[in-house]
Amino acid sequence: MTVTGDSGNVWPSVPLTDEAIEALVTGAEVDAEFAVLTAFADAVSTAADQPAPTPSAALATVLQGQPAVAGSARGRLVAKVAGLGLAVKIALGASVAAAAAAGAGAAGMLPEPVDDLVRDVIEKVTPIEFDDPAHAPTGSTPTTVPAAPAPGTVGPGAPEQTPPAGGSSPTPPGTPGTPATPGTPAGTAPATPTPGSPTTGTPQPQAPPATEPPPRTVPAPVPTVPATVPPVPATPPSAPGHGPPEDHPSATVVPPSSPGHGPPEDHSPATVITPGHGHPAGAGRPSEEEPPADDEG
Amino acid sequence: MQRDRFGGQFDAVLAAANRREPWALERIFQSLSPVVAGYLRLQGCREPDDLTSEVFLGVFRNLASFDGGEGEFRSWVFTIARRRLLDERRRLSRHPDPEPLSTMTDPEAADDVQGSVDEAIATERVQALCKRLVPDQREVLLLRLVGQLSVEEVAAAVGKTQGAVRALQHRGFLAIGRLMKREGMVL
Repeated sequence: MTVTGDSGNVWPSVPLTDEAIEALVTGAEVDAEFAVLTAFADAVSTAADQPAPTPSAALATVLQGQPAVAGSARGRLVAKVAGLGLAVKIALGASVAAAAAAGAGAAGMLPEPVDDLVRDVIEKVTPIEFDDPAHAPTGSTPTTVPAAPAPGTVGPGAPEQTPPAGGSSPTPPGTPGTPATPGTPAGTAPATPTPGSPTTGTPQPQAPPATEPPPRTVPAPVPTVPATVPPVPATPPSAPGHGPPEDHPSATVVPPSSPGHGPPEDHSPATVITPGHGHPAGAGRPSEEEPPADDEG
Repeated sequence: MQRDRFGGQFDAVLAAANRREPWALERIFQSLSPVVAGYLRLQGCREPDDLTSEVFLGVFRNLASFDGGEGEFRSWVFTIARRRLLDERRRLSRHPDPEPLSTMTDPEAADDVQGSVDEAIATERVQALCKRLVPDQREVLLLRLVGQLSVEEVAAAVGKTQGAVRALQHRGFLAIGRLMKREGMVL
């Protein structure tokens, strides 16, 4: 590419080679054709090479061998947030506020009306459901459930003293509402304690599962069980195959292929009748680790 | 402009700076801050002195992670300067500062007033000329002329291949020469 110069000649008349550029950069002599470029390189060098600027206060501190005071992570975070746009700031603030309200609501730390509202919102926008009869919808899987009483454990105050039945963990968040385990339809499992006959049921001999579940804490069975079992306020964390899901809105239903849960018969029955829920008689069955209360009676 | 700004004592200065000895930190700042500030100024930075301080805060904060000779150190310093400049441009694109009355810093009073004025005018012309370059060409030319970086060092600093850097500097010099010839510009 060429241009016409003052003299009418094209410029440059000689090619600008890499060697000529190196000479321009280092200040060596170049062809007179590139005199304008030499002037430019000199002017740039002169314009750039000024006396050292005055250091800022933070840098002056560092130059004296002291640690910097203005470069903390918190300061950088504040500066970064301050540099965000207005819309991003609003969205960020709303997200933080929503997360805080949701966390407080999930923890039950808000006043009851607010708590109800927050929980309703959480249940609507997430798969999480809370084990509150007043809020318990039907047909989905809860994420957080209270500790459930072992078979034979009675009394409203008992759940927090009893480890979760079968040691199964609650279903992780995101597990969709799963129907009862196929092959174990509701009502087919034998010997499930019912409100009228809490001591019924005999452990059925079963083949060991193909995959052993992780070690679990077996709750000590209660030797004697009163004839009438008062209603238990909570539902167990895991009760696979113990009736239709609509009867146990807060029960964790584990799909048959869920890793780490094992076959359905590995789970302790922990079938607890929740008041107001139409639990079919005979649903669920005990596991080999947790014999029914009447075994020892 | 000399490449060796530490008189052959760079390794000793770097070792002392890593021990946070003030004389070594000051030596590094005094040696390289003028060209860093000049690079930032010719890149159109609004507050080149402030940004230079930020650059050297970053340099001294991460000094322990550096390993190499003087050439690599200069390239590393200009890499930090370039990143700070990009950060500033990003910030200004979101929150533009009020347009300053003059992009020139106030020159200190000098005995040679005529000389100072000439220098200021020359600097302003150079700035105006650089502004008319394509940003990639301007960056390469300034890193080469102001930073005294080699083609390899510039390529590492800007994240381009050496061939791309050579092509950019070639086109940049030709563009400058044509502009000056066409407009009869004298620097």
